[in-house]
Amino acid sequence: MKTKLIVLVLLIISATAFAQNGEKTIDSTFELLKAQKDISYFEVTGEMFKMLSETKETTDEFKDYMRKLTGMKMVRMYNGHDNGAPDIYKLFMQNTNLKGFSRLMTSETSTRKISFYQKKSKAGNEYLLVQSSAVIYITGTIDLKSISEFEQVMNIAGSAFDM
Amino acid sequence: MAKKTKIPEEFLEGKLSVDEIESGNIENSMDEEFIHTYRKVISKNNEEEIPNFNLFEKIAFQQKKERTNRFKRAFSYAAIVVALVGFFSIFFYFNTTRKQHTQTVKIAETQKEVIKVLFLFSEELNKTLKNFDEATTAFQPFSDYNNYKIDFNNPMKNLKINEL
Amino acid sequence: MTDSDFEKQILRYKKKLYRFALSILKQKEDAQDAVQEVVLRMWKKRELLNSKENFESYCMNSIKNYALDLLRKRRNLQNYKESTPAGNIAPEEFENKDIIEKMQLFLKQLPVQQRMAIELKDFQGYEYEEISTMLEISVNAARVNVSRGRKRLYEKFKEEISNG
Repeated sequence: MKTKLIVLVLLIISATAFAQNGEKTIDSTFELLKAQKDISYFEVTGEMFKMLSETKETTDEFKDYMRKLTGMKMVRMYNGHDNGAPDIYKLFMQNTNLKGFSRLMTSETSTRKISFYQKKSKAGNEYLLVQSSAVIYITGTIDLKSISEFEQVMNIAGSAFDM
Repeated sequence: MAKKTKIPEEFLEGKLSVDEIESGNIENSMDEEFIHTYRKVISKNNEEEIPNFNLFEKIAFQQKKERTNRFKRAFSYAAIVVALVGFFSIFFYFNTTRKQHTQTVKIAETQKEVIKVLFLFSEELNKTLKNFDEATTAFQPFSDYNNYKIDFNNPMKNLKINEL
Repeated sequence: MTDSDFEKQILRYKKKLYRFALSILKQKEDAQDAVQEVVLRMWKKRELLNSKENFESYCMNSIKNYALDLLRKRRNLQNYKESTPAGNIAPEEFENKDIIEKMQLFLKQLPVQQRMAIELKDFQGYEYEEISTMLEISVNAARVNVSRGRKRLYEKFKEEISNG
């Protein structure tokens, strides 16, 4: 009896876990989120990254980063998380099929929740930052180490990039 | 023998030419004198040399004028063509420069945005990693540790992710 | 008509054209200028001149038209006196001239139609048919003008001789 209860609970948990994933692709979900109220959307294509990697007025370091990127998408809430505003984290997770992705980390506080996902393949790497007020999707040959180092790189480079 | 007559009426009527009058036949001395004088006037007039002038002077001048005008016209057309080509060159140059400038501005703006997004990602990643380090392991599900694929040397030296 | 044909033809009639122009305009420079001008005008139309049956008549006719036109314009500008006995010279000067010179002056004083007819008939030896073509008047009118001119000269001559 007790075993049956545990199995049932586990099944429910796993069902819920499955229910947390939708059927849409990441791109489709971005389209959905884009259409939401008070959402800003930003996208960079592989072509643009190629151009950015070739611009004359940048450092080699920056060019190196650009060479390793093939795509970038971001949806973001305009003015932080309001009560009436959609929870992007929920919306993203409910709609997207994250098959092949592994969750790296999740951090949750009373005010916000953030998760990091990664998918590695021969074709390239994909990274997701999913947050209540934003989702960032990065693709390319870049590795997570480089992404993490970028903050430091920017802090050193500082004013050269107008930050 | 021909009769001596007055100056022939036919002459005065214009029916005879001067040469056709036989002066010997004119009775009246005044009339004879008139014919004689008139003949002299005619011969004097005809013997007189005409001034030596160039019949074709005005033609030559005209041709020169036309040549100059042709040259001026050709020069004007050439000048117009040069001006037009110059104008269009400048126009296209500025247009191209403007387009290039617009593209340059667009690229610069995109560059800024990319940096912001990448920075944000990086910042949040590092922040979250730091939180993990600070949080006690008891609050984190074991499965999350298994999911760690981060095996880099973090520039923030107080974090020892590799050992996790 | 080629350029060289034109030149050859015109040169043949240079003297006649000049004399005829002079008989109308009375001044040498004017006559010279008129001939050059008419030659220029004809040169401009030289391609059409092949069809002209009588090039000579055509040239003389052109001189007549141009010169008369010029006279008309001048008359509009200033009072052109033809009727004074001595023309443009002072009476004393006139008295000193010989009878031939005086006759020449009397010729100049004739009305232009008579002057032209006399020049062509008595001085250049044209027939009345030719004169009528050149002056664009009837053969009879040509003869009448010659007649009137000759009669006037005759009267003037008699008057001069009688006055002594």
